[in-house]
Amino acid sequence: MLLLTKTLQRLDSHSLSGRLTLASVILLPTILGLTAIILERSFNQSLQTSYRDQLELQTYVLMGAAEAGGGELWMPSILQEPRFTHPSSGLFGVISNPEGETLWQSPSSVGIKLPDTPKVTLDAPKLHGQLSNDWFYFTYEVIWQTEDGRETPFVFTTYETPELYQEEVSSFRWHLWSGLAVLALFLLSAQALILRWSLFPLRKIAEDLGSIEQGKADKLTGDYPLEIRRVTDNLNLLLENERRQRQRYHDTLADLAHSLKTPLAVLRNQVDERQDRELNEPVERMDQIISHQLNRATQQSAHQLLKPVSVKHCLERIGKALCKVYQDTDPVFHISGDNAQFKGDERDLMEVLGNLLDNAFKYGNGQVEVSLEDSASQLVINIDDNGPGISSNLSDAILSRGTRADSLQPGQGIGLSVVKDILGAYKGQLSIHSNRWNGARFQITLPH
Amino acid sequence: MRVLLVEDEQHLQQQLNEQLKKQGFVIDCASDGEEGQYFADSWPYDLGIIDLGLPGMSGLELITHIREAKQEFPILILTARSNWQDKVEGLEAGADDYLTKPFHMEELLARVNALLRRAAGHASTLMKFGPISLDTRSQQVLRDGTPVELTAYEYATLEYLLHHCGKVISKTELTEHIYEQDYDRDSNVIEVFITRLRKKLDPDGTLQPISTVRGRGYRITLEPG
Repeated sequence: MLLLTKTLQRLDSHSLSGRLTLASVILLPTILGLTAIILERSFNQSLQTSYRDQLELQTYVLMGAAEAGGGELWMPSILQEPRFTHPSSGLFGVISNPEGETLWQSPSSVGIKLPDTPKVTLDAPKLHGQLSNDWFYFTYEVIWQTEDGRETPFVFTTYETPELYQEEVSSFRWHLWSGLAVLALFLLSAQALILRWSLFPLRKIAEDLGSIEQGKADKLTGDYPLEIRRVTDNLNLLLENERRQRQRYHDTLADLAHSLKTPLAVLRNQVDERQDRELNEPVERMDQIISHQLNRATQQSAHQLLKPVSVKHCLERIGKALCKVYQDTDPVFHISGDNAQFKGDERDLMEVLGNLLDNAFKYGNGQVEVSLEDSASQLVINIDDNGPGISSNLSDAILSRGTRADSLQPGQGIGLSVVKDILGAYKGQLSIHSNRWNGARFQITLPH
Repeated sequence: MRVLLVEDEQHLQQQLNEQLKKQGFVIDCASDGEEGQYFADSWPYDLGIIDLGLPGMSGLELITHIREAKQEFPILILTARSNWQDKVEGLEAGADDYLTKPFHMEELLARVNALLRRAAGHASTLMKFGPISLDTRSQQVLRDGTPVELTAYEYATLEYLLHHCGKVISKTELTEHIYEQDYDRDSNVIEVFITRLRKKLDPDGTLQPISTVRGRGYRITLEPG
């Protein structure tokens, strides 16, 4: 019993379908089983009654065929009921006197010892039932008045062996149980379908939540059944509040970044003017922190705008802008390769490409080339410049986490850490190689 | 050179004002987009320094307005948000360079000078016109390699003329570009500068770097290079 409750408890916590299925798996066979048993019993009972009635009739048949006179009883050799004649037919008849002497036996009982039946009494002249060997019997004592006025008692008894009865019982039992088994299967499958249909709203909620996570939807929109509606309404309220909070947080941080940067610029200029080395480092550090950390925090974490962005278009815009800025070096900017689509925030892509292209223009020697390789699994963007290239030591320093900006060229550190962060958010990678001009190749890999 | 500075943060505005004045620029300061627009519409400028994050009318809108009014002076954007989307938009709207806050003052000055040179068609910091060279970085003038001593206004005048080499510059134009707004201007002062420049640059009179176009103004006769 304890084991059963423990099992039930465990299943309870796992699934609603589990609970419902378990309940029906226990209940259904029980109900069907009980039904079968009740049906079988009533059938048996009515069958028995019918067999007994049959025997009674047969007894009357014997009585009808008998002729009595002068203390003698005479029976025809062939009776109406053929089973009385056929040997081992299973139906036997006996006529005897109250003392138990057999006066006549049906031809069917040749060679068979007929068992004794209970004695009739005055109160119960008719007796019927089943003997210990399962034979049915019917015995009837009658007193006939013969022509000469004598009253002679006779006892008519019929027997039936149970084979036929048992066959009928078996057949019924087989039909009943197989029929109920089919019914059980049908009910179980119907139940499974009903379960799926009933629990469908829950699956719909799970799907809708998935859409929200992916940024395709803002709230749960759907016609949910009454019982779930409270949950969905509350959930929508929660989502709305959370979104507003996130927006507030984002705006506050953006404002904070903006308002801190300008006084910091003033501070920095003062420090520069006074050539104060000691103050320079903390000021520099503050600058790094503000630029880096707040930049990260203000990036929209939920990629709500998943409209695909044309990578080539972004590259063209940034390239054109940088060609303008660096026009003194007479730059040559070229884009080649497939036009890929970037599924993410356009600002993030601009940030990554902007920083890397800026470096390429700044440290290059006038030539910047971008090549795109798009495949089913990933997008590779190569940014090549014809500058002095990057030594492997510096490469490692740049690519490893937590590199401080002052160990790199000024301005390069912050930009690259932002690039790394953004790429990380999209599960992308940044790697450094050399190119055919022996300059630097910055390679971005973005999985689809 | 006349510079339009549009920056809402007062401290920074003051600092920039001071530093640029020291370099010999004439500065007009505006604290928001509307004021900047008013200045841009009223005065001719050689350069603009505009902060993107302005209250009210944004820096981007101001730049668009300036370009739509066919003003072609170079514009340097200042931005606190080192957001590439904003930088690219600013450059697309008509700016020529950007600088992220906080910045070193030297970097700002270098960029300003670079933009001015570029606008005049010169790629390097040293602008050569035959025997005369102008080093915009050190603010020195050289005659055959020897530095020439000039006062601030003399330098400013020569600088402007050289940046617009070949063009006739009126006295009024010169006045507008090298003097503060409310300075008591006397056009004769320009004549004095020109005379002094001629004497200092061309003591033996063989070069004649600056020619007078009667009734119209002055012109540099030297060719760049």
